[in-house]
Amino acid sequence: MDTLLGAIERVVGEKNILRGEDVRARSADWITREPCLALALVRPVSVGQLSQVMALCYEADQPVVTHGGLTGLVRGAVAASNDLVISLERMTEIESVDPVGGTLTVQAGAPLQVVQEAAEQIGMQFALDLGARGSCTIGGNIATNAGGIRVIRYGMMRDQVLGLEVVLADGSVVSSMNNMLKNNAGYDLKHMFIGSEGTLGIVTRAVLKLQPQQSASQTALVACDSFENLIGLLQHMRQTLGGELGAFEVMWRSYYALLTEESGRHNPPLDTSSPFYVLIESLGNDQAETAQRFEQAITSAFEKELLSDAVIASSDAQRDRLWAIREDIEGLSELIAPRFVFDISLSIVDMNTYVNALEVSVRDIWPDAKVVVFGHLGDGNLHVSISTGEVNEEMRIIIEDLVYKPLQAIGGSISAEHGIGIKKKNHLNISRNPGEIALMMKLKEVMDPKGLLNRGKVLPDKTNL
Amino acid sequence: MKIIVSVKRVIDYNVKVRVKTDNSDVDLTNVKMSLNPFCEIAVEEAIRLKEAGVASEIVVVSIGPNAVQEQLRTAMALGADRAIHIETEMQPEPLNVAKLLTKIVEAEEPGLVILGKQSIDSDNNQVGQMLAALTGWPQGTFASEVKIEDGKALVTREVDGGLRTLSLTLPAVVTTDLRLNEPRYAKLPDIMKAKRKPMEVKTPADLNVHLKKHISQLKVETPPQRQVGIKVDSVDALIDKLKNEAKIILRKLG
Repeated sequence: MDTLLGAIERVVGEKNILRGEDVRARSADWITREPCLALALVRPVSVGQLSQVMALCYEADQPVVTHGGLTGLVRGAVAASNDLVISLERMTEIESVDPVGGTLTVQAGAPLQVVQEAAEQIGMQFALDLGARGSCTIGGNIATNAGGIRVIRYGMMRDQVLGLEVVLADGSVVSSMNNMLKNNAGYDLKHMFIGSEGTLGIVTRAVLKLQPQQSASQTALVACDSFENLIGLLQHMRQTLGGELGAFEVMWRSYYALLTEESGRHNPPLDTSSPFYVLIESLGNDQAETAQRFEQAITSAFEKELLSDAVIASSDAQRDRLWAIREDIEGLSELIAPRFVFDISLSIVDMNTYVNALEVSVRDIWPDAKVVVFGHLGDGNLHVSISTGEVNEEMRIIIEDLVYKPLQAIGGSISAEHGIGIKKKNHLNISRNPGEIALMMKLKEVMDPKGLLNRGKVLPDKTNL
Repeated sequence: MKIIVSVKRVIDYNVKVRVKTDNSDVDLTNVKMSLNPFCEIAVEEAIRLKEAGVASEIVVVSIGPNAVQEQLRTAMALGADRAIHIETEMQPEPLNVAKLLTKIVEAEEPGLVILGKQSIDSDNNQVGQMLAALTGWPQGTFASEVKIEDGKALVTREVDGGLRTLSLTLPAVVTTDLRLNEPRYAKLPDIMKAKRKPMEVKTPADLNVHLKKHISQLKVETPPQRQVGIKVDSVDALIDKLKNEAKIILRKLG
């Protein structure tokens, strides 16, 4: 072991291999804040260094866990005491920006927000956006195929990536840094790595697709008095705003009331008596036109009684305050800690029945339990938090069953955008059929025959098949 | 009591300001414009006084091109009763604004005029004071609290190192500071109603005011780019840099 670490130290330099307390001082899970147990943490500065490090690890059968911004929710970055952590924190350079082709080439450790700002500098935008933008990294966004608040308009991370460079388990580098929108020359290998959660290779660089900047935004918070109206409202906004609908984020009353009136964390812009609240945003080019179209769309929805009340942000400061309610996940974590968190996909029409049934089944067992729901409704994605006042393994098994089992019947997914990690791997069969899982395992076997990359994650334990 | 609130349409506080290539001014092409934040606070304060039964009517005034009607509608959606738009393509200087407002005040005879202490685009902080001088009314500037009692306005002001409370005989002029209140959001039903509230359009000529230009803007520049930082190897080196280059530490430490 010491020989391996010594050899790695010669590659990355003494300062860039952390051991002991320096590793313990870090956490791989922002929810539990447990210390990182890995035997060491390595910080390569280039793909060349990482390639050498991986070649050494492969030689020594050393398993590795890759770290990006550590904002994941499925324990995908958790490392065991005999794992080596590879952190991409020093590979953060934005290598080039092409305003004509609309592409940006970046190293995987760059935070999302840095990329967004670099795109803004040339009058473009990088369209992936999520609450963790300041911490999460491009590599992590790719590895987990991140979603977020703009999926309704621009799609997920998979849709923003044109090319990739990856270091494989044995240290070999595969560069597929395509920067063309169209390239049908053989298999499109990047898609194999996007969403693979570090189990097939380590993403080191990427060519990202940029979009024209939409400098005019309009934001409203609206209240809906039934789920039927909520669906009607979504259809209405899609119709009337056309391509300008940029976000349609729904907060169930359980979430909105908790984060505003009940906790006092935010002033409630609308009273808390409605069952549903939606943050609606349009993104356009022309300030006046976008504002006018948005106001018309909201007004006509009100006249059709699809919404019962609304506030429209009259400045960006007000817009930020509205978004702060929806994005206050830190507040949510504090207010209902400890909690079980779920990220599920299901068809929109099934959502209300599903959530109501889930509340009933949870409260059957724990009458005082809190079930808090919000999500990207237009994407069919809900985030469900359940708090019974404590967290233990037995409880976890029961609650996971309550959340996941009903999804199977309605063709939902146990992971919409957070990934599988360790947390959900043994539920993979709810959302994937045996044929799909078998092919995933075959792929893993080919790409990582020694099982060194993020082992024990994504794919179900063999005993659970 | 009638309250007059003057409001200004300015570049949105959150917008990253761009300067025109010829350095003549800030580039406002297709940029988000909003109510000046201090004016928004002034509108909110007037509405609260009306809700408390102190004020009976709120008249909101703005000066500028047609586009300022957007901000007047916003103010009416928030709760102002009617609006006066003084139409001009000029960017009037503070004295001009104060003269125009004086004419409105003479005609409307309000008990109180509330203004933002300054606009975030030109940062003059002059109109409220000039208006008080021209009308001969008492002024309470930088208000962080306003109470109306027995024909007096009790205005708490934020001054260096503390608070100072003034008692002003009404009618009076009050300018608002950031901590006075948190403005509300415009609600949709009120936005719709605001479209039908009265908006009177006047010109400076109607008010018998000739807009004079006393100041010309020579150029507008962006701040110099921040230099890249350096890393130092030791605490001693840091102290040395702070002392001899940054000149932040003047006395011996410890």
